[in-house]
Amino acid sequence: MQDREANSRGAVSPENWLEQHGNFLFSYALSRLRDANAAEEAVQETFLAGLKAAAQYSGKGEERAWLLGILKRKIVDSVRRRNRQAAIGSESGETWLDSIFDVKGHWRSDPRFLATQPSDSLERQEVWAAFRECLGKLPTRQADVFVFRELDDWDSEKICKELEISPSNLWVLLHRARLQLAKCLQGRLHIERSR
Amino acid sequence: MFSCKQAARLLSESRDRRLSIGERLRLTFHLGICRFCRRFAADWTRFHAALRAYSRRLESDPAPDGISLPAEARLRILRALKGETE
Repeated sequence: MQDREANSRGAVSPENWLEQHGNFLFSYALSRLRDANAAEEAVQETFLAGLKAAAQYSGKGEERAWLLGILKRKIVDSVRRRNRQAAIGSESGETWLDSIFDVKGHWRSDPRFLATQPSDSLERQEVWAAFRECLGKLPTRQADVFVFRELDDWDSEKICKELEISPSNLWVLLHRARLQLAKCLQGRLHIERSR
Repeated sequence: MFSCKQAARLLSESRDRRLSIGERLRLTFHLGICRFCRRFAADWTRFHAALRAYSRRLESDPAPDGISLPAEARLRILRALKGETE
């Protein structure tokens, strides 16, 4: 029945959706999920949910923004699913810290990770290509909480609720993500600096 | 002795929760005497602001590298959607 309603409105066409919003939604999902299969699945779920909800869609406002709203929900579902599968504590251990700090807890080397260039240098594409690569190297759970915290600007409370983890667990994950990201970026951006 | 390792941890957590007065004092004092931690903190301040801007750019144009939905994926999705509408 919903289908008939959707068709009778004459506004919803899967082909058009794919044509007009497919790349946009897929790229967005990929930036959040870093996994092409998961991103494709989230986009498909978004379109399916969109079809079901098309009858309720007012038609006001931008179709793309409406679909993006659905996609964001699907991305959270996807992240929750994959983190439920990963056993808690599988990324534990502090040995990786030894490459960053010595036995006394001092930095092994200068921890600066950004080039000291004009302030606009952080908008360069290479910086963000490096960021995406470094984010992809992090353990999934660390990268996921980092994305929610720093790209989506969610607060601790919201992340803990959505992913069903404790605050102290979250803070440790974020701390590890930040330290390792900085170290990775340092390596990547330093090469650019010396070029 | 409060180390850089501990300072880095508090620095990170200061973004995610409210530090206690004792923690704030220790961190502030350490940043006052440690050049490396000061630089690390300064880089993160810069980078956090840049991350926000990057996130806003993604919202309007998530494919700066021209990423597109692969053709096979497009077909799979279309098939799934047609299955729903027919």
